[in-house]
Formats: sequence, structure tokens, C-alpha cells
Amino acid sequence: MNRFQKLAWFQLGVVGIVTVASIILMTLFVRKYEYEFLEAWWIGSGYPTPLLVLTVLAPVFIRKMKRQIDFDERDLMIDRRAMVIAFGTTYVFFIGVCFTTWVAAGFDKPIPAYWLIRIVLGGWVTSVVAHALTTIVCYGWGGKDGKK
Amino acid sequence: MIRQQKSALLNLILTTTGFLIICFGALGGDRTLRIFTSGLVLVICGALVVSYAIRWRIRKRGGTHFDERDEQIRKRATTTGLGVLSLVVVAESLFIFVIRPLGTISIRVLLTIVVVGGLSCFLAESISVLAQYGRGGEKS
Repeated sequence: MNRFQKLAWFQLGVVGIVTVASIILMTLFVRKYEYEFLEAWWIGSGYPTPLLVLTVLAPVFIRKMKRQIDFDERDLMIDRRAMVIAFGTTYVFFIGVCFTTWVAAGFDKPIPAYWLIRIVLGGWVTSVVAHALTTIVCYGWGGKDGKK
Repeated sequence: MIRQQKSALLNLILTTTGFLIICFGALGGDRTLRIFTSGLVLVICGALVVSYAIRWRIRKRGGTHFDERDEQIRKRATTTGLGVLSLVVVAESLFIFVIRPLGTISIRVLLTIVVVGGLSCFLAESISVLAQYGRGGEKS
């Protein structure tokens, strides 16, 4: 497994942990403290969200070995493909969120401005997951393919 | 001027017109005007999608119509376009949030963000294609 694969698995792991923690907290707030679903969702997903910073800091934890070639043409090609897919998926996510809100709330209904920040955060997480998944799939699910 | 450049130029004109129409619609507060401008922007988006489909067909056909250099230019332009799209969407969202952090916004604004993002993507892609082919000079 090369460095890019390790980075991708690390990012997927962090996002997975945050998602599981959010679901547990959400269930806790609904069951124990009898919050409404939307409130529980805001609070439950709000607490573990700062952990997502770890996805940005991943290159600090998974460092390049000494005398190791950082990346070759193939890695660059995979990274570029992952980037394009990540950007594309993020845009699809934005379109999906906008139309879901439109259908759910109505065309001229107002929504709080801070929702935009949540949507941007959701888009960013989507792009991280799409990038990591594409990297893993392109390298062949962590087999010997990516080994240098 | 080859087909890719002509297509990029057409996209550039369409996206610029789209931006002008969005600005015009945003300045005028009349509901009828807003519906009319939204319809026009929708038509432009449709034309851009058709143009993209035609380019995709040319690329699939390959051969003399689309060589390795064209493919490289296309890849770079696509990456540029999608990068600009993400930046524009994030910048718009942050700008609106900074202006009125505790206020409310209409869902129309969300849809405008998506449309402006899409138009920016096509605009950046077209500029990138034209710049890489050398603005229609002897290079292409």
C-alpha cells in the first residue's frame, strides 16, 4: 500500500468515525433527552464535526519515507481523476441539497443563512469521501498494485 | 479556428450572456421580470448542456477530430472549470453568511448559487480551452 492509499484509508476512517459518532449522539438526544429530529441532528452532528480537521492533517500523520519517490506519472493521473470526480460529486451534492430543500420547504420559503455553512461543510465532506474512494478504487482496493 | 475553439467561444458568449441576465434579474425586483430572466437562464443552461454533449460525441469519435493534445487540453480545462465551480459556490455561500449571519435567505438564493456555480464552471473551462489553444492563432 503506498502513501496515497494510506491517506485515502485514513480520511475514510475519520469520516466513518465522525458519521458513527453523529448517529450515536443523535439517537441519544432523541431517545434520552427527547429532542426533535432536526434539533438532534444539528447537535449530534455538531459535536464530532471538529474531528474532520484530521482529514486535512492526514499528510502530517502519514509522512513520506526517506528516499521514497513521492509520486510518479500514474499517481498524478489517479490524483487528477480523483480530484475531478470529487469536484463533480460536490456539485451534484449541492444540486441535490438545493432541490431537496426546495421540494421540502417550498420555493419562496426563507431558510436560516447558517444552513449555507452546513451545506458547504457537507459538500466538503462529500468531496473528501469521493476523492478517497476514487483513489482506493483506482489503486485496486489496497492490494499490491500501489506498491513501489 | 478548430471545432473545440469554436465551441469554447460559443460557451463563453452563452455564459457571459447568462451572467448578464442574472445580474439584470437581480437588479429588477419585479416578479414577472424574475420569472422571465430565470426562464432565459434555463434556456442558456440547456444550450450549454447540448454543447457539452456535442463535444463529448466528438471526443468519443476520436481520430483526426480529437487527438492526444486535444485530450490533454480538455482534461486541464475540465479540472480548471470544476475547481472554479467549487471556489465560486463556497465563496458565494460564505459571502451571504458573512453579510447576514443570523438572518434568513430565500431558497431562490440557493438555486441561484447552483446556477452561478455551473455558469462559472463553463466560463472557466472555455477561457482555459481558448488560452491553451492560443486564442485561435496559428498554434491550432
